[in-house]
Amino acid sequence: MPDMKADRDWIEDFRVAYEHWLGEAMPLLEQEDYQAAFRFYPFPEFETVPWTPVTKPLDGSRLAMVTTAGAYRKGVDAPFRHGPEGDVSLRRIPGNTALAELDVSHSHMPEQIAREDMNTVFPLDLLRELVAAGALGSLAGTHFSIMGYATRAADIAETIAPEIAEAMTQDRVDLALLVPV
Amino acid sequence: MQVVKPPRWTSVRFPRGTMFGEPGNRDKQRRVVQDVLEAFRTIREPGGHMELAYRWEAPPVMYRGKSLREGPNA
Repeated sequence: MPDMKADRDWIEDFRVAYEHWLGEAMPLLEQEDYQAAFRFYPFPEFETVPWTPVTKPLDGSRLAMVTTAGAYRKGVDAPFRHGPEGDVSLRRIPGNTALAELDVSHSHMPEQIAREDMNTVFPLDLLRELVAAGALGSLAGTHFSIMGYATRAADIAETIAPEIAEAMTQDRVDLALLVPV
Repeated sequence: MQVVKPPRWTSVRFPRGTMFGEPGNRDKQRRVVQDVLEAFRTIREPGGHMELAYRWEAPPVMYRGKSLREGPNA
């Protein structure tokens, strides 16, 4: 992958604004009044769109998936923590993981749907079918899971995102499929 | 998503937490995944977007005692 980076200009200002927001919002978060709390959340504003052209055909491309559904391996990895600020952490999901080995821990989505069928948020079975059919080149050795409710966005940008990008580069991933929840 | 500015993105009107369709509806999920992968090839401009026409075809998804509805058009 070329050395392209999203703009970082927002991070410093965000950190200052975030601490101010958190002080004001914490009582609302503790009451689970998220609508009120996020009405004045300092959502980052980006100047640019990061862009890497797709140069390979799908049937010659290697794909990794990133889900924000809070998926993790039962009995192997810790569930994501639930709390007012969510959880800034990463779970690596080996490419040979069976979906039955996964559970989800996400405080802001209907977890029962994913538990009934993990393909609704992390369609690994379907991607494997496409590889077997020759429509997609290959799947990465590792996929990635975070929990979408993580209010410290700058921490995601400065710790989790680079870790994922580095791992994908090492794994020679061509396509990253981000599945937000 | 316009605020997030992803490189390229697709959207579908399924309720939150059901991004590839109804649980167990393998044929429909497969079509959604195929369409999403196709977008890697067809979206040629930074920030390009493709809206998928699929609709939710199961009872409402219950969450915290409320039913989650389909999202609006992007």
